[in-house]
Amino acid sequence: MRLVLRQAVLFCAGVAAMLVALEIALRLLPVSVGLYQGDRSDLWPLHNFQAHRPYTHSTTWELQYARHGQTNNYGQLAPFDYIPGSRPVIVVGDSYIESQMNDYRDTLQGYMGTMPGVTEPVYGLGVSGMSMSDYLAMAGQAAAEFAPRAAVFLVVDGDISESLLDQAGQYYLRETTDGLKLTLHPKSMHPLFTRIRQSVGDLYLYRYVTQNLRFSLPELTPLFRVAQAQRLATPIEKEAAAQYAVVDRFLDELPGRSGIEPQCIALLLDGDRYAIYDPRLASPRKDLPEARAYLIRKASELGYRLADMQPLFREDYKRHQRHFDYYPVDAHWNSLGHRLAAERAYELLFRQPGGHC
Amino acid sequence: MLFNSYEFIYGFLPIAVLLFFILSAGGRTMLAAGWLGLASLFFYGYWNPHYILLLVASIAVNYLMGRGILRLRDGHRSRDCRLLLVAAVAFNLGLLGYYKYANFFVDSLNMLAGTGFQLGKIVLPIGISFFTFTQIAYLVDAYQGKAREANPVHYLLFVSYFPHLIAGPILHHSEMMPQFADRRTYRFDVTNFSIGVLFLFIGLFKKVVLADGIQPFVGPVFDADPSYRLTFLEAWPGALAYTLQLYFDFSGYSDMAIGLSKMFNIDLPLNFNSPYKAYNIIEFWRRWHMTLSRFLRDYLYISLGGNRHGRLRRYANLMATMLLGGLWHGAGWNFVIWGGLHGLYLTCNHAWRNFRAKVLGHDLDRPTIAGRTAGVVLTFLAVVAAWVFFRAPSLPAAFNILQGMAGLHGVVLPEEWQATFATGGAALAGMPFGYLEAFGGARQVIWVAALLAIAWGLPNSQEFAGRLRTSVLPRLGPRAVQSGSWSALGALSVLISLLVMINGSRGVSEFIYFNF
Repeated sequence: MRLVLRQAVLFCAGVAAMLVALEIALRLLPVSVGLYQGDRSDLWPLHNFQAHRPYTHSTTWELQYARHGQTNNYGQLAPFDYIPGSRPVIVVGDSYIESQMNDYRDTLQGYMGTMPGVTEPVYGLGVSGMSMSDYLAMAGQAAAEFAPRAAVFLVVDGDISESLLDQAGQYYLRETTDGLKLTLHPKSMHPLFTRIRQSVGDLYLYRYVTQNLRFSLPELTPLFRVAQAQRLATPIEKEAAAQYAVVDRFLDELPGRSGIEPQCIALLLDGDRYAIYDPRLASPRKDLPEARAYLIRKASELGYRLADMQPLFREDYKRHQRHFDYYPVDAHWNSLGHRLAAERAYELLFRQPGGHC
Repeated sequence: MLFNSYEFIYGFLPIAVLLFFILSAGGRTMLAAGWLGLASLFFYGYWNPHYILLLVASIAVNYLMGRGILRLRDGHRSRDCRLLLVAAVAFNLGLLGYYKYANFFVDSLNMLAGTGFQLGKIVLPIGISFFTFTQIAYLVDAYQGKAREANPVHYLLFVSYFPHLIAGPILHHSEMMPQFADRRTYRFDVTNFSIGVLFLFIGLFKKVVLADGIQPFVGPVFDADPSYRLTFLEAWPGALAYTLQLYFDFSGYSDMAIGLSKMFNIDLPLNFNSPYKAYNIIEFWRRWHMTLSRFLRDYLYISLGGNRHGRLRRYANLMATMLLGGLWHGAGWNFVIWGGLHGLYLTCNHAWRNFRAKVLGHDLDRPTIAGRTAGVVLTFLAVVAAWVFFRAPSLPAAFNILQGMAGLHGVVLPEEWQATFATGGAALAGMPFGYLEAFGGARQVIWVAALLAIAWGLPNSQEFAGRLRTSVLPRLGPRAVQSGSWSALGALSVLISLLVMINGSRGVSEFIYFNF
């Protein structure tokens, strides 16, 4: 028995020594660290991360595309604080707008802020994982806080369908007898787990595994895989009707929530850029093409300013053969993708007949 | 099931090891061997359960035929014995031919005769080339009286043993059967176990970090549309990237196989010995996929007459062996050309050695440093050129890359280097700058340089383990080695977990040799 105990102690000593060595080594490298969820879930998504914290972002096991930055007073990734009531142009979107992988000056909001004639401040309100339902919530919070003059919403693949998913910590459109209702699924975690997560969250090894490697224990379990398969097995007719309803809800509610007229709201629709690089790389879309087409049609009818980025990207790629993202590692836009989107949004909001918003 | 997957590392392997040693501890060695055989069949069936039947049938038929050959041989019925051997080899080749080559032959026939025969899609059972060759060797040895296996459990384990089943090393019964019969195999030995885990870690590192790390630079070159004319700076780094990917992928797999087997106290033969350090092509084949080279030499080249019938016949035998070796890798003209190129290289190498020794009077055993360095570089370049056929999806794609490597599509510098070189030598030489779609830039250059430095400059896995065993461990004393082994196991298990997570972060990453 003593022998077995001794062997176990020696084994654990080896484990501990290696964990310490890895932690020390990773502290010398640009591991994704520094971004912590804000404490007030009722203020989410406007107040996203903890305010005024430096962070490092990198992607993949190789720690590619390392970037350093800082959160502002709203926990958004920007090198300056946002001022309440400042009547800005807001740029709303998911991780594309959050844009951890780009320097601030290379983002849509960064570019727009430097364009001629844009005298208002431009505020990026991007939160990774958001979808159209969250955009509605964000629009309401931003309206109350900043009274924005104009807005840009970036709609990427998945934003329509994911609005229906009931996920902890996020807004979703719940089916009720009166139609879809915007609902927050509050995040609830046992305080003990929260404390553990906070303490291990400072470990670079933990951050490397969860942020860079995207390791998630539940995703390995058979139960998770079954749930995923079930979720994917939704009949297509039901899905189409639901996605149309999401589009309706979003377009109908957005002006009221944001306090901005549709002609001062630019909707930018991302496309399948990999299919432009090589048709063999075209991937199945999460949002039905019909729902996307419906969004374009209905938004135009309601007077929104809208740009489908796909033909624009295709044209640019034909001319210059340059990627708009970190292909093949990361599909998020790079500086070029953001610049083209900013130019398009600028045209829509500031260079259209009918004038400046 | 892949060695680098979660289900293997956290599921299959711990259960297989634990039950093997629990059964062994009770003295039930045959049960332990049987368990390992059954676990190996499960390991194989996890990929596609339908092919377990094929594997089991192949093992059963070969075992019975082997027994039959031995009985006839003992009864001095040599004619019947030979007939049975021919039938048994024909059975194996027929199986391999159907699954691996039927479509290739039909397609070639259609191409040559303008016919339109169709066989439909035949799925290649994984590892069929390996378990077929292993068993052909056994049958030939039984015929020659070198193999006398009577124990069906040991035979099942010999063929299906999971560390080698999918992609080798190709085993020889004489090096395995005594180990299966040895009672020491069934005793847990922490030093052996930790050496096994060390090899597993080295192999996993080679695969996950080195081979898969450089892999993104391969596809853009090899999978480029042949109408896109690859320039010099795209073709060379791409070809070098594949050369290194293949080596680290396959030698990584072999190290993992050796390590996994060592955990069960069973030594597998080495499969690689720093092949890119070879200073001629003959030596390259003594260092690359050594167990296949051994098989081809013992059961094909020597059977064809080897070097026993004069120089010309020897060269013809070499060429035939390498052509068939190429075809063994895959049913396609690319592989035939790859084999043919190596046959040609070997012929040239033998002829050159003969010329130097007999005409120039050189002492071949004492090469100069300059001669040796030139030999390493020349051998490496020849191997790189041949790998282009090995990897390219079609002949036009291969020729496109080779033309690019030869500079026939021009030399264009990447435009992102323009600022750096604008006032430098490139501008003076008038070299154009442009967008290079299939070139990975400075990152690719760094990856290729780093992996070349490792392949050429560092000791290989067995040299590293050998130094550990001969220089480090003896100084520590047996008690310290025991304690150190347990701590090393702990440390290595953390590293292995991290590597598996890195692998998992990129999705499924199969080993290249699973295709063969």
